[in-house]
Amino acid sequence: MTGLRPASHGVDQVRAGPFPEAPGEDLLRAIIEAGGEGVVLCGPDDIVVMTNAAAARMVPGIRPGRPVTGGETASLFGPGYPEGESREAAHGPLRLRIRHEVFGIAHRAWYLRDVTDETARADAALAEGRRTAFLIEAGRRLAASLNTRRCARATVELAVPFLADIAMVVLPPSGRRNVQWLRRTGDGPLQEGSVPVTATVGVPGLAESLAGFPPVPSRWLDPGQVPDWVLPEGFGSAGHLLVTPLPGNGVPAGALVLARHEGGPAFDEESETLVRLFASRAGAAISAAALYQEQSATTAVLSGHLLRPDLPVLDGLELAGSLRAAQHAGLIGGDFYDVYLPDSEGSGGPLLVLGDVCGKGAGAAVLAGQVRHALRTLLLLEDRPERLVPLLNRSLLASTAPNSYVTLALGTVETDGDGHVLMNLSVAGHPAPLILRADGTVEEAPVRGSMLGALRKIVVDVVTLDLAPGEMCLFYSDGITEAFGGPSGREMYGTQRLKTALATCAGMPVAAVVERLEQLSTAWLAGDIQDDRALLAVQARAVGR
Amino acid sequence: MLEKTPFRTEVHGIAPGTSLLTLSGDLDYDTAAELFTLARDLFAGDVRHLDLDLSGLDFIDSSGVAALINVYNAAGEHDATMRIVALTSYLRHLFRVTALDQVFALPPKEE
Repeated sequence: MTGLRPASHGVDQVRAGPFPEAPGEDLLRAIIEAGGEGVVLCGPDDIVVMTNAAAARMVPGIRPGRPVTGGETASLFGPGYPEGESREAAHGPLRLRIRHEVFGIAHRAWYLRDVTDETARADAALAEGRRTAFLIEAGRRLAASLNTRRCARATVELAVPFLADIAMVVLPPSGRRNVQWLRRTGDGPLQEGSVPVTATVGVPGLAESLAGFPPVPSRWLDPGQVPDWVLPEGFGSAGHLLVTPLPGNGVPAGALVLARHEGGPAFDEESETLVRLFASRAGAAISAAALYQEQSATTAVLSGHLLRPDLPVLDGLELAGSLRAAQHAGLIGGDFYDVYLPDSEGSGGPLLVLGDVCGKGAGAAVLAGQVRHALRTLLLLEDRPERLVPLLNRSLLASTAPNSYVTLALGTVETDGDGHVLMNLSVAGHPAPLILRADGTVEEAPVRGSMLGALRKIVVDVVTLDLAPGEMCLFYSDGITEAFGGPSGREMYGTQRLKTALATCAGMPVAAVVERLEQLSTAWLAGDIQDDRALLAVQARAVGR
Repeated sequence: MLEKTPFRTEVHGIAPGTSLLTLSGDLDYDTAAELFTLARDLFAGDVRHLDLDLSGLDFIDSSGVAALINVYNAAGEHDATMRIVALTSYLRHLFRVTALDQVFALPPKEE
């Protein structure tokens, strides 16, 4: 047996000395049985001459006397692989690592190792890593939007192809008769549509999911019952179906319908768990977006009432106004101004109002709306400020909403024949308007009064201002004078600075004055807008304009 | 954002049925409810006269003014009285603008 190799194995090394004889077959068998690896020893023509028990367990088909390259074992023992190198191959449920060595000219030994468990563990770790990465990516993409449609879109785009071949998000019916859906198939484009609510009953598990019932395992859902509207054209029939609720804030945010091709892998327990985790994230994102959209819609409705109204063009006088809301996200301010024109039967002049309601947010917006509406109604009966203000106070006291407090400045304006504007001015708990005279003098209107909505007994003053051509009267809210900023960042702008700034505006058109004061105030705040700021100015039209 | 001074309240019984409530910091949208709740509880107890020391207030907004009015109204409902015993010149100006100086009992102006 000279020339056998590898010599280093020391199995059959020929030695000089007292034990020259080669090991017998029994010894050889004992040696290969002792190893943990499966060993298949082949002679000429790849006929198996010896195997051990481990090999027989892994590859039951091989028997001594039969060729190893025939039948189902051919793929394992093919000659096409280099000697000494390991490779892995699947054999039935097992995964085997195979290596062969050539001994002499006629013998070849195959070494088999069962690596099924190792591979499974590695695969599991890999799959776990992929699932974690998927959930992280899902969290990242779902958090990126506060729009329900974009969240639903991200949901179906994430789900395909990682979770299924088709993903469809069905949004809950919001009082209408239809439900909206978004779908993605493979790497195809996003598809959207809507179906009547009644159609959701046809999809196994969908109506239950939309109602917020916990998901049922995929194996209980018959994919054969999936109606056509769920599956895109050309998809064929679904092999596996999984319907999962998207849990929202107390109410379901919709349902996720997943389907896989016929013949594809079924949804096992692990993927169902993953889908549930994913669905809870998607549901949270969609419901947060829905809540946000609802809130923004409400905010838009409410702040629509507070938008700067278009100022009318009036004979003999010029008007300009500016309204800047505080920067607090989502908070709607309570400053407003309005110019009410007398109706055709009325005798008085237009009424200018600038007001500030107590508080912030939706409550303030509703209150501001009430005040403006009440003024419009009361004006049909009464336009003298000294009568109008107490009526408004009574109307606010009757309000059931807490803190229905308002401060305002209001005045009726009339032009006389000489280009002068006469204003009957009253204030209620509000900073007194400022008057800019033609020579640059600034006066504070000598008038004050109680804030409204707080007390039964109120003080109301009325003064009549006479504005010569070019002169103006400025209404402002305390957001202008109580703005903290300046060089130190904590200094209050104050009435004196406003007066000084106004004094430099003599002779300017009223629109330019309002713009300038607004700019000065913004510069003082250095970008930190803490409160609403409103300005409304009326100017007797200058001669020649 | 402008740094806020924390709002603080201290109550001292100074005579039977009379309490001194000292306020400091910012009385605004975020803290106004705290003042009203506290005062209402005092009136619901045995306090018949409430003295307010406002000299430590750094800032007050419309919600803060509203809270003071609410305290005043709550006093009326409980047959109690509310008095302001100390305040800043800024608050005095504010009460003048809102004509609340004719409603609240204020200390005489120091010259």
